[in-house]
Amino acid sequence: MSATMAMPGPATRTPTRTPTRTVLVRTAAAEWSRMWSVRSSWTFTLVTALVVVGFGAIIGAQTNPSSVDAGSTAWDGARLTSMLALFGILTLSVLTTTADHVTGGIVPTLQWTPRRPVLLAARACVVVATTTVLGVVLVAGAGLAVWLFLPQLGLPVGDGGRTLAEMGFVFASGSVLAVGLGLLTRSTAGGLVSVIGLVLVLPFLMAQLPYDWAVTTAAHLPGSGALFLIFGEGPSDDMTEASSRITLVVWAVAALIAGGGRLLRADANR
Amino acid sequence: MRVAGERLDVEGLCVLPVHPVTHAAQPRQVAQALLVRVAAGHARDAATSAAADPVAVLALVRREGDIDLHETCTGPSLLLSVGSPSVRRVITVRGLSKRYGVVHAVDDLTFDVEPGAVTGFLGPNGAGKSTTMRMVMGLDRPTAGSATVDGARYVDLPAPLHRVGALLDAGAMHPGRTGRAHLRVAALSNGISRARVDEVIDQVGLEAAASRRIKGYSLGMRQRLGIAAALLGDPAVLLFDEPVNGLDLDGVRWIRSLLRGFADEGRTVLVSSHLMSEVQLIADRVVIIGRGRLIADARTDEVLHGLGGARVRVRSPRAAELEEALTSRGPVERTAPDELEVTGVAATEIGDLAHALGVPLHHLAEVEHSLEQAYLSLTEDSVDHHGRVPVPANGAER
Repeated sequence: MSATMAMPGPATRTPTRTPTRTVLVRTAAAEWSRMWSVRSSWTFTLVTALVVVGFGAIIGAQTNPSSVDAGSTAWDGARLTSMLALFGILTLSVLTTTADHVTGGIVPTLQWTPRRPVLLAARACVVVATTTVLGVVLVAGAGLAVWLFLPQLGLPVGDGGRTLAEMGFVFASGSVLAVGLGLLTRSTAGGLVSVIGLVLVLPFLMAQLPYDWAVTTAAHLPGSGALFLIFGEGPSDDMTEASSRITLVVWAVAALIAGGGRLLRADANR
Repeated sequence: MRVAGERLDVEGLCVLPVHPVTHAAQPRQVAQALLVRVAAGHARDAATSAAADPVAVLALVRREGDIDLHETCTGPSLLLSVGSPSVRRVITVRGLSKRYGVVHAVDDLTFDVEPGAVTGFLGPNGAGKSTTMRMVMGLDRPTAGSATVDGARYVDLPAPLHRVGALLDAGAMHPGRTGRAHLRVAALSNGISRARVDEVIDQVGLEAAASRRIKGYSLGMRQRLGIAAALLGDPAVLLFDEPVNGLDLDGVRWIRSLLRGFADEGRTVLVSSHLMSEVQLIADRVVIIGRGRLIADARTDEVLHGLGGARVRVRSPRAAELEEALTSRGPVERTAPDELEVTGVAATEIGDLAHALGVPLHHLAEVEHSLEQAYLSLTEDSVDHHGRVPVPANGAER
């Protein structure tokens, strides 16, 4: 039988718990690096930028100046590109959120940041802030492109600020919804199908059905809220800006609670 | 029994024969086994009690709340392990269970991992090794029980990545990221410098590949990258799940010396592997599980010793004569017309006996037990998936 000698351990550090704020900042930096250290994020962003700004340029180039309503600005044209930007934002948010689960990267991620609420906060903040800013910048670029081809429309700063703020709200709430659904499904395909379905497909399909309940339901889907805030129209006449904002916020918060809850409580599986 | 200063730090496992029907062990055997395994502060009491009443030793151990006694009956033997409170425990697993529906992946598992040693974590496929390691790292939520490092859950450690490094799944990386970017993300999340990233890349020998995307890496390169990530925080505790998978011979030798070196520095190393020869070469202790339950927790040499006494192989043209002389001294098995295997008799004794009898010897050597034998013996009832050996069409066995 052998005796066990006390072994000298390696140099040990002072065991002080890193403040949550520091961990959050570091994790956010890691999330930023994680997002932009894969080629797919760059490719998708570039393609989305080309499509949104290019669509703005087409609108400006193809619109007959004599047919433009009085009081219209280039920002009205930019609004038309917002749905494309929204599609890109939703997709980028889902791709970024689900990548860790699809590749198994969640295993090392949770070893590096085991405090799951911090990881959730950092991931949601980085993805939502990045995609929202990206979307706003692209819509601004689209407005500029419309104006460059159709300078008669004008590019008033005040109108631009309002438009970009509204679009920013739509993009942010859409991105939160996408992050939540991505965390909930843990699958890129599942996340994309659910978010695109809720935002871009179901509102249009259900509004076409000849049933009141279907139209009412369509009016309460996040896509209808986004549509109303972008174009001022929705499947139901009862919709207002306030109801649209509430619809978007409720869906976004509910998705984040569901998806975040899964990240916080469930095993770190692919 | 060796005494280190005032302390007697002993711990381990013994394999005791039990009654074939009742599975009961002889109290005196249990007591004697415990006597040499009971922890420091209790050794004198245990010795005194044992002299008066062997069963009292068992009672003493059971009475002490800080001594863990685990008994596992495995067919013909009783495995008895005693954890000593005077041995520092770094990883502590207590009553750990994980259930998926009706499947018990890990079932009431209890063991400790100590610093300054390589602890091998063995078990058949599906035994629950990876699940246990994931629960230690806080990736999976236990159904019951606890798994702690330095007495705290991994998530509650002051600086987790600086305390524990783990390689759990070499394939769990984004294939579109470069090796350096993968480590950079880890470093950023824990405030570790770029210089340290370059250091660990050098340490694992990935300098040339660090700027390439992981999807172009071989399995061995991914293992090295995973090990680099585990080493990033220069942790004192290391958990490796099948670290030699996919490594070439150089890689295997490298990981062997790496793990040995870490243990010699006083770090805590827990390594799971299905390669018994590898574990036998590097592990000071082994924890063997089957169907999620603890089968053995002991020093490697104790497990090997549990297979039985030392065996000696003798070859002689007059084997029958020698066999007759040896039978009274220990079990003798005729393995070939001119070859015997003797259990429980030293090679020197056999040599002297042969010399005295005038029997010529062509071969006399101790037969080393392998961990593979011990492992198979201990886990034979715990394997979920058995392969079938193909039988030739004519039914003849080869």
